Amino acid sequence: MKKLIYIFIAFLSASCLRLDDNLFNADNSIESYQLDNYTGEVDFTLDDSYKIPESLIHVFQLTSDYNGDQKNIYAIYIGDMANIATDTVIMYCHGNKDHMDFYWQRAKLLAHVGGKNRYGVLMIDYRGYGLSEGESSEQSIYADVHAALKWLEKQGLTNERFMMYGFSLGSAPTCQLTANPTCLVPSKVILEAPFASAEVMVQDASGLSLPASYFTNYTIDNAEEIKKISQPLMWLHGTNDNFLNIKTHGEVVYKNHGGTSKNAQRISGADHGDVPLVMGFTAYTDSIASFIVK
Amino acid sequence: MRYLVASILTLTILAGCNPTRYVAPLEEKQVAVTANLGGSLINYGGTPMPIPLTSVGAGYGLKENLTLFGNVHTTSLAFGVFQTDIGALYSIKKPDTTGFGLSISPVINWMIDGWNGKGRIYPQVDFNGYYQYQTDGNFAYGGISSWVELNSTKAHGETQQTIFLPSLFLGHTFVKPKMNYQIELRYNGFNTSNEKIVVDYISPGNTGALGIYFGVYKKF
Repeated sequence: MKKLIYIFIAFLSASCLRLDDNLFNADNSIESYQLDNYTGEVDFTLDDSYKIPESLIHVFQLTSDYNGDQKNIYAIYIGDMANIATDTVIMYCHGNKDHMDFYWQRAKLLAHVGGKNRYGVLMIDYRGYGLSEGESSEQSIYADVHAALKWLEKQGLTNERFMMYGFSLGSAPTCQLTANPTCLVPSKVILEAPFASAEVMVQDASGLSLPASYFTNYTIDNAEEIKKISQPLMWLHGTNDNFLNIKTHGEVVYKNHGGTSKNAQRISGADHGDVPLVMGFTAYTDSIASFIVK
Repeated sequence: MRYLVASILTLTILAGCNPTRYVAPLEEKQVAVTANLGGSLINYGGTPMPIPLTSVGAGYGLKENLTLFGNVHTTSLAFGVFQTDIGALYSIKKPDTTGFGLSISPVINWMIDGWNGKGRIYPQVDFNGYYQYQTDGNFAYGGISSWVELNSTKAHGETQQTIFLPSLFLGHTFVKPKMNYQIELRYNGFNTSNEKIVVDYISPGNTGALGIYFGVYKKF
């Protein structure tokens, strides 16, 4: 009887609905990146003082290989590409929405940390986002970010001048590739409004201790991966985050950090997408700058 | 962002998978097969909609005052989760023709996924009151129900704060010779905050979720 039940369940599993793809809210309808000219929805817009000189904006393609599935993905580097070997660079892993135009204002802010264009900033569109080919999955976004890190490594960047910044979904590749290095390893990690895990998301919504596997095959287990991370951590999270609860997601990630040096920024009144806005752009960039130079 | 991600959790329940199974007992040795549809209401891209949860099952009148029942949750099944509820309805007071009735129903909810074999058991108890306003016919009902969380910890070893996940319900059953039709409104998880989570539940306040449910019973 027990065998029959397992066979029944196995049969069902073979053709089951899963809601994994819904995690990725990508927009691949654009024909080109508009950056400052983008007129779609954004979380906030910076004034002209944050404008980046055209000569320091580089849109290019990378090849990402996920288990032999090679895709061309798009990247934007803000800074002098000739000086990557001697600059400090922040790898910005964006969230699950739209494409790089949506996150352009955020990338520009990071390019003003410690002064205009003091640090280089690299951002990519995961496969299926913007002009990047393919379709995203939890594992494929790790492969895409790995491709970006390989590119930085090839430009001569070394671990001690490399930082990773993960926002929302971007916290997953940041934690994964820091905890389980495949090439470059960041010397410091910044997480803004991170996921704890898919399981926390399920349990928050159901009110019960349900396993994530009832709904999705993804784990996004930042709360466990961060235990392996000993690099200094800066964590920013809005107290009013209406999507990833600061208590059940952010606080757990922060608490589980495996290192001894960590900095928490609980931003009073901020929601999921407006931490820099509520902090104030100058306070935000100053705060990150002091974390990096500390 | 939240609208699409919310659909990840279209099976999430706030303990509101189904309507009340039985409020009044079946006749002794009577058999019924049932189908149910409905779930908690969510805001999906600005449009209120019930989570479309379905289940099918059967009931049997073991005694005049004791009905046994079991159900399989078919939407869960489609997602690779075998979910069932098995329970009994004990009639405390049954009106002879018209009038008030009372009943209590202990239920075991059991589920296991076909991916990792992770199982969960949630005991549940329903307290039902009903008013039968037609002789052997239609009745309106209401009551309170609660799931019980047996795990003391949740993900990442954090303390499970919610032990009881109660629901209030009001419904009506249209009784025909061979069929019953049920409609029910529930206020699921009214003791649990619905703020700062991925699903945008619809509720009268900042707790729980309203749900709407339909049931069809074929009697033999």
